[in-house]
Amino acid sequence: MKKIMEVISYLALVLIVGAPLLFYAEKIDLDMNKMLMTIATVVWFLSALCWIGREKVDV
Amino acid sequence: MSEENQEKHGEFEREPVPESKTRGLKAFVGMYAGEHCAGTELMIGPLFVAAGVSAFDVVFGLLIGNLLAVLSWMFLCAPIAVRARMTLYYQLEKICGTHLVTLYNLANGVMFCFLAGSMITVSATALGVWFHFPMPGLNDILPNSLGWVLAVLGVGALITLVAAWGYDMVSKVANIAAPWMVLVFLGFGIVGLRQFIEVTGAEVHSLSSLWVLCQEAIFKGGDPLPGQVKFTFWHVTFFAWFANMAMHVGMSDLSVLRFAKKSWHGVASASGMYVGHFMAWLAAAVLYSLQLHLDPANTDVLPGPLAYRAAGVAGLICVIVAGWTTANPTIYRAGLAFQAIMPKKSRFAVTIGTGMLATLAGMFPGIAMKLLGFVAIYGLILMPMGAVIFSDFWIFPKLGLTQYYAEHRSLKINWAAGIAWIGTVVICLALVKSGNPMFQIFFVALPGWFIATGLYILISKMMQKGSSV
Repeated sequence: MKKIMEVISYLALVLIVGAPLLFYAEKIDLDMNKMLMTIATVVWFLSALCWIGREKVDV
Repeated sequence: MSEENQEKHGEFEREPVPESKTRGLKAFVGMYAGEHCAGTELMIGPLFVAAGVSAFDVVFGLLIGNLLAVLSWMFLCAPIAVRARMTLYYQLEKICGTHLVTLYNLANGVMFCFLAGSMITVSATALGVWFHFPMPGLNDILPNSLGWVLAVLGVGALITLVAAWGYDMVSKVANIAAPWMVLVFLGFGIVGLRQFIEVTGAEVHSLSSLWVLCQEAIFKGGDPLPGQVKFTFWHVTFFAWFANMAMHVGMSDLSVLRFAKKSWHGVASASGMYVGHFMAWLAAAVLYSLQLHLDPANTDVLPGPLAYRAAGVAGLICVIVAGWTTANPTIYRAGLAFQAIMPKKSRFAVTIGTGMLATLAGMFPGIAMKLLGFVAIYGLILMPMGAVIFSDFWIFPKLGLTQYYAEHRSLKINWAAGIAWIGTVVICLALVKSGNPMFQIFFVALPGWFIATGLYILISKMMQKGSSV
């Protein structure tokens, strides 16, 4: 489960920067960019809560 | 305190960090990247544009200034940190005595409060997008509407309560938010750039055509906006170098880097400088420049609306989280500094009081709108103590002077350090007042470091002459 959440989190991060890149490439409009970034934000926080901080911190 | 107890508290506040507790480079890279991607970055980038920077000045000024900052961490702060392995406060106490450290704590706490206030200001601008109350303009010093005051009060009260009750929870949110926030900042820049290309009709197919767009539209240079100081290459370089002066030259990060295995691990600060103080500043600057391009009359530096126009609700969340997660530890640190002065007061009461002070500061937009000047003053006030530590650690043994003089003589105040500190600040402020462009507030800390070093060595020589230790 943790591994799946980790993968979902990374996909959300890809979307956070992917949406602006798609907007830059004129593949999506600004409203779509805003919506995708907001969705990615929600997904990131929900999924990251499940694994960040629960792992042993590398010191 | 036994090592077991120390480990439990995780601090090693009054003894050197043992070798077994030191950390690798990776731990510091993440920490610096997160810490220097804060809400205030959304103010600083736009303020550069308001100061009339040109493309060359801002890009190369930031590249060089941030490099100088990294080198300061690597060659001034880290070498002492990994040799002494003590906190700033413990080292200062041994050099300066407890009373002078108390005064330093007071200065530090007050500066932290103002800094936290500006972070609360940044977060409150996001609320303005939702509630449509009048927000402050670029040259506003005082709060300009009841809605603004209530927004700052609401954000400040929330941040204060969380800092007092749930510091660990916010720490966790900050850790989770850090990688997301960095990418949202990057997104701001990419979106802003595309919009610039659209509104100017520029053709950008290569780095050279992008550079032309930067020179001709984004960072045009010329006169600053009314009420702003004109920023040149040197201003940007020195600002980037000294933005965290309290931490590197001022040695505040001795407390952090004492856990580093090697002194070159200070290079980890590059992650914070080039992510937060290069990419994030430039990204925010692009958004503000676009706003000015579309409506030259709209000079307001308001991170909330800027972020919303580029990234919608995600942008607003970024502004709130960036301000919140950085204001929280700042209020906590200020509380710690004040608590050292009032040890009998509970941590809760001190944090609430500190948060209220920060909230009050946040209501005055003048602090955030004049952030460039405030950051320079902040560094200047705390820098001389870094020069004192540097001299005491490296120069004193070569001159045959006694290190950690206050500890050796059981002094409450080492006047040599006290005079060097206050004297340097007074001399530097007098130089600023002289009106000579060489001694603007952004530059004066450089001669100030040499003044502090010279004063401390000279007065220590006089004080220690003939005294047996």
